[in-house]
Amino acid sequence: MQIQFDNVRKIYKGRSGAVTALDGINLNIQEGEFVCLVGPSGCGKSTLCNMLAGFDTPTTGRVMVDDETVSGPSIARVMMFQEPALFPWLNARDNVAFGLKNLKLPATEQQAIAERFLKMVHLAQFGDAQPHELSGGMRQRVALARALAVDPQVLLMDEPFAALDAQTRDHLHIELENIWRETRKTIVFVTHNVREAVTLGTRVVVFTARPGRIKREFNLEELDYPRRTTETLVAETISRIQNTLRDEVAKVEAAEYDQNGTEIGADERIKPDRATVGRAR
Amino acid sequence: MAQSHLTNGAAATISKKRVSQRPLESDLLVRILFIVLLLVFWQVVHYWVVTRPGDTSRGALFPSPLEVGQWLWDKFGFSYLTGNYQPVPGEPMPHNLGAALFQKEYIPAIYASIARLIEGYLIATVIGFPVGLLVARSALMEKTVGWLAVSLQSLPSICWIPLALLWFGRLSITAPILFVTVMGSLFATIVTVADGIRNVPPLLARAGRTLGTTGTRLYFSVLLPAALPGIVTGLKVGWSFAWRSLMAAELIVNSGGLGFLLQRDRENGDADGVVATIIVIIVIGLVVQELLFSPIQRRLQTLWGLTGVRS
Ligand SMILES: Nc1ncnc2c1ncn2[C@@H]1O[C@H](COP(=O)(O)OP(=O)(O)OP(=O)(O)O)[C@@H](O)[C@H]1O
Ligand SMILES: [Mg+2]
Repeated sequence: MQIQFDNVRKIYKGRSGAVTALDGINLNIQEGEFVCLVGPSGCGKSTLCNMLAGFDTPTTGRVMVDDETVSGPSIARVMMFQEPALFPWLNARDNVAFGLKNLKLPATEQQAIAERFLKMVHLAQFGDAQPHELSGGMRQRVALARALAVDPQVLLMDEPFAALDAQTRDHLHIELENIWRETRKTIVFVTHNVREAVTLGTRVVVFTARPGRIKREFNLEELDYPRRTTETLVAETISRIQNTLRDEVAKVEAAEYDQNGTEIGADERIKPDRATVGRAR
Repeated sequence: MAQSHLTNGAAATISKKRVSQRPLESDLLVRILFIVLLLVFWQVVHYWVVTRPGDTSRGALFPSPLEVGQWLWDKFGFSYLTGNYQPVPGEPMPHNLGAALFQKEYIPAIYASIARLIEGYLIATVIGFPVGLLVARSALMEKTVGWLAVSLQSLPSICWIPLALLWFGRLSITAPILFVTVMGSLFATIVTVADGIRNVPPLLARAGRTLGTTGTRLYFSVLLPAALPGIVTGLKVGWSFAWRSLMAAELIVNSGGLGFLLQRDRENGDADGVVATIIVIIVIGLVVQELLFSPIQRRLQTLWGLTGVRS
């Protein structure tokens, strides 16, 4: 299996004009890689994920999986979101089993697989719980089990742990790392957190501020798992990547202030990308 | 404290149960107290009205709660129990309570109204529910039928009565009433059901799609269940619109039923009867709400963990 972004550009035509979210993206991802995408807010990381998941299409260029152009969502490329997006009318077990119906497996096998993946995320006793009876971290684990249960070729994760507290997040890092080492599933993981990217990924791709281009890639295959941020090599890598990212974040921040250094409207500050658009008008 | 040894999940479940049980009981108590206060207030106002110097007919126009209660007791036929039953002129003395109930006016009127309501509501739902689903799913349907439904919904259902009488007046007495009931409920059902589907979080649909669910399967295994709270609301709104429209139609079209009783008692100057019938209409509305829609909504609430059920 191989993923290929071939000169991908994405332009959104909104009410405030056209926004180039991504430009000149060439990226190859091999089977079994754990690729982390980092970049300033609004640089198009989610856009890239969405295109690979098949929710969105490039304006020019191609996204290909095994020499076939991605043309829509597929059970072979399952996406996880920042929110768990569990189905509230199903209990945890049925949520995990949800995608299995599309694989046309016998019902008993579906249940067995669901149980196995619930166990994998350490929620075996919570199969009967409704989503609202679970904590945020537990819900995200159910979502992870639901995505993995259908055995996708690629697991896409768009800031899956961003809404969780630090402790839960650390816990889930370890869990995800173990799962990846066991299954060697190809993972594309979007995050703002460089430490997260370096602890988990075999490769970290840094994006420029919008229009998002690939600024630099860091190959981390040499770093042994489990990686502790206290190890010198890991700490050094983190700071190298943070330095690379800093300029880009600074660009976005610069866009939030006009030349006099006075702040523009608070609501525009929250979404920096809009600030640029606003100035351009 | 005492719960500290429990896991988070268990503690959350326990506290949720407490929260959802306590208000149910205290709600009832508060409501009963409120009704008692209301009756007292009503009696006081009644006393004030009848003791004012001047026109003595005011007492007849402003009945006391006791007078209304007496009317209900009689006209439901319960006076059979107390031995002072007056048979309806021209009819024999009933032999048991059941016969007494059916001889007096309320039970047959309630029966007539409810039968029409069910008929009208079923027609409106059988048409409105699928149309609402289509409106939510197709941009073209939304711009055309959806728009029409919103426009027609703003028309008070009583405005359909003249047309209903012209078209169906000769057919039967109930046909125009049925037409008004259906028209009053249909558009509200379409609009609310469509809203219910539209309000499904897009993220849930994406979660379904990325797991390989598409087309009609996506519709039936994700969108429809996700829209369930909104759909139940739609059905409930449709019901209350049907009830209102029916009462409006019965007031004008002379054909038995509770609306007709209201009109007849007004003509006879029986304020006791008018007030009593209003109370009966309200109570029926409450009973259907409590017996039919509330249990469904409560069940959804516990299953989904909704903090408040949209009503
Ligand atoms: N549907 C859309 N219509 C118009 N513009 C869009 C749309 N989706 C994204 N954009 C724009 O494209 C750019 C990239 O968005 P994207 O969500 O991919 O960024 P991101 O890197 O994921 O940001 P964040 O880190 O904040 O999640 C942004 O400027 C955004 O405003
Ligand atoms: Mg994003």
